[in-house]
Amino acid sequence: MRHCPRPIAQASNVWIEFSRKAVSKNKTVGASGRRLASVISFKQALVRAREAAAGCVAGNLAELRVEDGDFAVEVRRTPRPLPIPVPSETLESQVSVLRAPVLLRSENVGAVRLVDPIPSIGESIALGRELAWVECLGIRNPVKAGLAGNLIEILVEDGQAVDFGRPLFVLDAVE
Amino acid sequence: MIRKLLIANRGEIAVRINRAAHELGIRTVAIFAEPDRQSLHTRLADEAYCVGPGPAARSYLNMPNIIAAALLSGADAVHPGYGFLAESARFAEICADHGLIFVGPTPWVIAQMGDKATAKRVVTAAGLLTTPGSDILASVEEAARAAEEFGYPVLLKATAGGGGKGMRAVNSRADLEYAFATASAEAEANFRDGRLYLEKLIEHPRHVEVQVLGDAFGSVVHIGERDCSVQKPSHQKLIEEAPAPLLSEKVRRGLHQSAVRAAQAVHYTGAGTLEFLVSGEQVYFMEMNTRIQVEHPVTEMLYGIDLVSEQLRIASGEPLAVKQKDIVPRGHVVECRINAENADANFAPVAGRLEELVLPGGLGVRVDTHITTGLEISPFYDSLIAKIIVHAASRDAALTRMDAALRDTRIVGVHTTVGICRRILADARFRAGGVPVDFLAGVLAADMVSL
Repeated sequence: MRHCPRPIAQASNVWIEFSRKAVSKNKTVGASGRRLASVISFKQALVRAREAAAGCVAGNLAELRVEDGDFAVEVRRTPRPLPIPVPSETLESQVSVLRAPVLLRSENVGAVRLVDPIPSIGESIALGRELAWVECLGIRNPVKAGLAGNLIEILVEDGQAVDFGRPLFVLDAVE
Repeated sequence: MIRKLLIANRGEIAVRINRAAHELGIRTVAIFAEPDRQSLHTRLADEAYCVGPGPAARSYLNMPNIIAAALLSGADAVHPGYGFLAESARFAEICADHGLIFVGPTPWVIAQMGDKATAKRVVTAAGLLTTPGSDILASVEEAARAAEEFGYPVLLKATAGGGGKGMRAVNSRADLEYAFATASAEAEANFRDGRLYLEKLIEHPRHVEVQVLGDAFGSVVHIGERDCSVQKPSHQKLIEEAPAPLLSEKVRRGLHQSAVRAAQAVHYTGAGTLEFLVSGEQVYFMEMNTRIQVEHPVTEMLYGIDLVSEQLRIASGEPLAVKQKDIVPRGHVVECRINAENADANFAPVAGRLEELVLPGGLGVRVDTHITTGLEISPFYDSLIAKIIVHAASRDAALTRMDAALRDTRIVGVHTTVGICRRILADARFRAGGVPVDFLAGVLAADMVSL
C-alpha cells in the first residue's frame, strides 16, 4: 500500500485522498473518505470508498454518499462520464477505475513457484499474464494478472508455502 | 503415536479435538475459512491454514487445499470431526494415498455403513433387526410401490443423510411427490448425493444409540447407550442423556450386544455409534455413524473415558486400553445443545454478534464451545454454538443441575435454544422419562393450539 497517499488532515476532519493523480487528470472517479468521530484505519476507509465507487459506477450515479455509524464516505464522479460496466465485468476492473493498488492472492494451499524469469519491480504486466503458480497436490494452479498494471511488489519467495487468500503480488493498475 | 494432527473441522468440535491432542502431546494444525480467521479453533492450534472462502463447499469441504495444508505443515494424521468430510470414504482414501492417517475407520467401512441401505444389509447379516425398508429408489413411482408394500406412514431418507437432513415423513400417496423432490434436493445440497430410500415409519419410537470402540486387533467394546429422543421437528437432536431412562435391562443388554456384534461384523476401528429405534420391547437398527458424534461428551462424563483421545490412540495403532468389564457407568448425564436458533420460528438459524456471554460452571458442569464475547455468528455453518453437559448422582439431580446451569447461562445478541431447553426440563412427561422422538413436536404443536 506504499503508493497510496497518506491521509491529509483538514481542520478537525481527516480527508483521505488516494487517487489524487487520477482526479487531477480529470479522467476518472475520485473518492474521499472523511473521518467524522472515531478512528477508522486508512485501509478500512479505502475499502469503503472502493465499494462506494463501485456502487456509483454500477448505478451510473453522479454522486453517492454512504454512511455507516460515524463514518461516511462520499464518492463523486468527474465530468466525463464513464461507460457503464457490462455485468460480466469483474471486481478488478472496477478497482482499476480507482487506480488503487491491487493484490493478487492465492486461491490454493500449496507451494508458490514464481515464473522464470521472475518479473521485475516496475515492469508493466499485461492482463492475464502468468506471474506464478501454486502447486497443490502436484497440480499447477496458475496465478494470473486479473488486470493490466505495473508490478509494485512481490510479497512471497519462490517455494514458499501459502494458504488461501495469501497476497502474492501488488499491482498498480493502468487504464 | 501421531506426532502432528490436522483438524479438518471448525467450531466446538475442532476446539475439543485440539484439547485431546494437546493432552497427548500431539501438535495441532487448524484449517479455517476466511470468516473463521479469528475463531477460537484457529487461535488454539499450533498452526493454522486458510483453505477457502466462507461457503463450506469451497473451504471445509475443499479436499485438495486441506490435504495440501496437512502435507505442508508436516502433519501425519487428519481428524475429520463430525459433519463436513467425516463420513467421506473418498476423503479417507485420499488421506491414505498421501501417507496421512485418517482418524476413523477404513474407507471401506465408511462406504459400507455410510450407505444406509448397504448398512442395513450388513447388520441384518449380523443378526440385527431393521425397520422394513426399500433399496435405493430410482423414481417417485418406485417409492410409491415400496410405500404401498409397507403401508403408510413411511419415512423417506437420504442414503448419505444425517442430522435429519433429506428426511421426510410421508402419510399418504398424495404427499409423496413433494416429499421425494424436496428430500432429494436437500440431500443433494448437503451431501452431494440425492439418492433416497424409504422405510416403514415406526410410530412414537425412542431414539437410543450405542457408543462403540474398536481397535485394529479386532477388539470391540461398547460404552453404553445414549437416549436422544428429544428432537426438533426436523429430527435434529436437542437434549441427550445417559443411561436411557425407563429401559428394561433386557432391552438395554440387547442393544449393547447388537451394537458390538454389528461393529465386529465390519471389523470396525475407532469410535462409532449405532442408532436404534426402540418401540416397547422392539429394537430396530437405524444407522451407524462412523465418526465421533456431537453428543459424545454424554458418554465421556458417564464413564470417565475420553473418546477423542481413544480415537487418536486407536488411529496410532494402539490396542484398546479398556476391557468391557471395566467400563462402568456412574450416575446420570444430560446434555443440552445450545444453538443460535429461534425456537419460536421453527428453529430457524440466526446470525448476529454475541454482545454478552456468560457460561455456566461448577461441580459436574461441562461446556464444550468455541464462542467468545464479540463473536459474529456466521450464517455459513451449523448453528450449534455450545453444548452444556451435566453429571450428577441421579437423573433427578442431573435435571436439576442442568436447569441451574441453563439459568446461569447468558447469551445476548442472538436467539438461542436455552429457553426451549428449560421448558422441556420443566415438562412433567420429560421429567418422568422415556419420551418418544415426536415429543417435542407435540409440545410445540400444543403451544400453537393454545395461542
